[in-house]
Amino acid sequence: MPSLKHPLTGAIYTLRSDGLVDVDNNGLRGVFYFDGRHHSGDLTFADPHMLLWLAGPQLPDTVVSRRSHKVT
Amino acid sequence: MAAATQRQARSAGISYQDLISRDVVPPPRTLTLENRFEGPPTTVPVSRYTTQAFHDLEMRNMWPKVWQMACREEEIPNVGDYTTYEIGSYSIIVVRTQQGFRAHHNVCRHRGRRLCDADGHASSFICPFHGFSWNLDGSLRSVTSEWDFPHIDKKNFNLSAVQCDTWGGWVFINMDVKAEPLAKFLGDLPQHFAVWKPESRYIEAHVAKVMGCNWKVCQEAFMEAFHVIHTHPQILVGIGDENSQYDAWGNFSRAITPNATPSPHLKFKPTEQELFDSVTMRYLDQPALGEVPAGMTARAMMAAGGRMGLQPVVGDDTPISDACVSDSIYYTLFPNFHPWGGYNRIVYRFRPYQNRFDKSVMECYYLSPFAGDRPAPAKMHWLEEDQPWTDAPELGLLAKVFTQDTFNLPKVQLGLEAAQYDEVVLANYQETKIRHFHHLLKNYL
Repeated sequence: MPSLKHPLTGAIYTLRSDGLVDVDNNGLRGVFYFDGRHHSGDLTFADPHMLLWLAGPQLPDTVVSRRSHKVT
Repeated sequence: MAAATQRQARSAGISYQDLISRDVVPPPRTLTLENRFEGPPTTVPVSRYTTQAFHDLEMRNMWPKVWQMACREEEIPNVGDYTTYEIGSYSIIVVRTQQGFRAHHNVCRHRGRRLCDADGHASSFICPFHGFSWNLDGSLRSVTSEWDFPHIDKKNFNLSAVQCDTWGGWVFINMDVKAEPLAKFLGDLPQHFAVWKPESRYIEAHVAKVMGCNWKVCQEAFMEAFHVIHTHPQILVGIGDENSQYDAWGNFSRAITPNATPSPHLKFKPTEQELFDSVTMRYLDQPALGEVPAGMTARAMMAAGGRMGLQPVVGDDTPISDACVSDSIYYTLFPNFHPWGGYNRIVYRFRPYQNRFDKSVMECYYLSPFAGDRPAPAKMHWLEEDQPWTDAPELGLLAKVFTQDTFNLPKVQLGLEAAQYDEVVLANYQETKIRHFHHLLKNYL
């Protein structure tokens, strides 16, 4: 599943199959909704914009989801 | 000495000029220019965003007196093609005639009905109410039951005139017939864009969305890279957000945010591969889109890739610099027009939605270079306030970036309307473009 490392905190954000996001901040873990609300776990705050990027409204699968270095 | 002082009052990261001095293909001269804006203000009254009274003041004193981008030439390609440009309660017809582009108030001179309800093609404008008609150039064509209007001076019964002129493939209007010519208003802006040939682009995408905030709240979110650290953290590794350069000249301002260079906010030094992976939006579970060779920088690799894709389109006679394919170069022409420089395709326009101070319309055009025959321009794709940007997949990844911005903006409006203070405080350097905008706005009030 898509997973990103927060560039400032080092926390790992991983999208789950149920649309929630697992966040592991140096061993402290929590589960969050796409809009920043806490779902469960000891970690009670996560970056809402990271959550939104991973679990918010998504583009259709047919759209290229990564910027290529060969076109602008 | 002055230059040294300017450099000191900025982030500790590498300056943009130092960065581009190391590029493989050097930038055009205009990207080496610096013109820091030192003037006021550093604060803006909250009421500029939150009151109908200020909106009405803009509608009375600014919008009818300033040049505005109304459409692209390609949207009305044939004589008789017309479009309407709406701003607040004003509606302007922009039409292509044998003599060039013309603009008129979209109002019947008889009893005031709007003449055109939608874009279209006409040999004359006929009022759907009583049938008075005008030629494309605005001159009176016919009066229904002319015998009943002996008091009309037909030579002075033209559609109300609006100034109209073009630059870069865009058509501009100004409702003030005594306003300075467009060329004078633009100042040196066309020189900045000369190498990028905006007139040789076509509309690959055009998306408009209703936003739940004042038009200036919306536009100001796209005039600085200061917000990247918290609104777009996923791109922070590979963007020199705090290294951005901000300048202003006359009626336009510019920001340049370098890409494939690390943010000064980072607490670690990313490798060139990490920079490349960040710019290419690599998730942890995905393979890299490419390996940065030893001795090469991610910035040079991105630029080489960009050149490879673009050179066949723009032609061999146009040198494509690293900066022009790598960096975010975003201009603002007062009051609401935001063409991006380089070979980035983005153009923004922001307007009030109808006549409301608390709603706006944000538009994003993709203007793309092309080889061969000019492709047909994309039609506007309208999104209502409750529709996500991802309903416009033609924007690609930018739709997801806008989703993050849109997560903030209605809440900025809500916060401003509840604010217990009188003024918004702006950063001296990183919010230069916003300060410059309000500096110019004051002249109209």
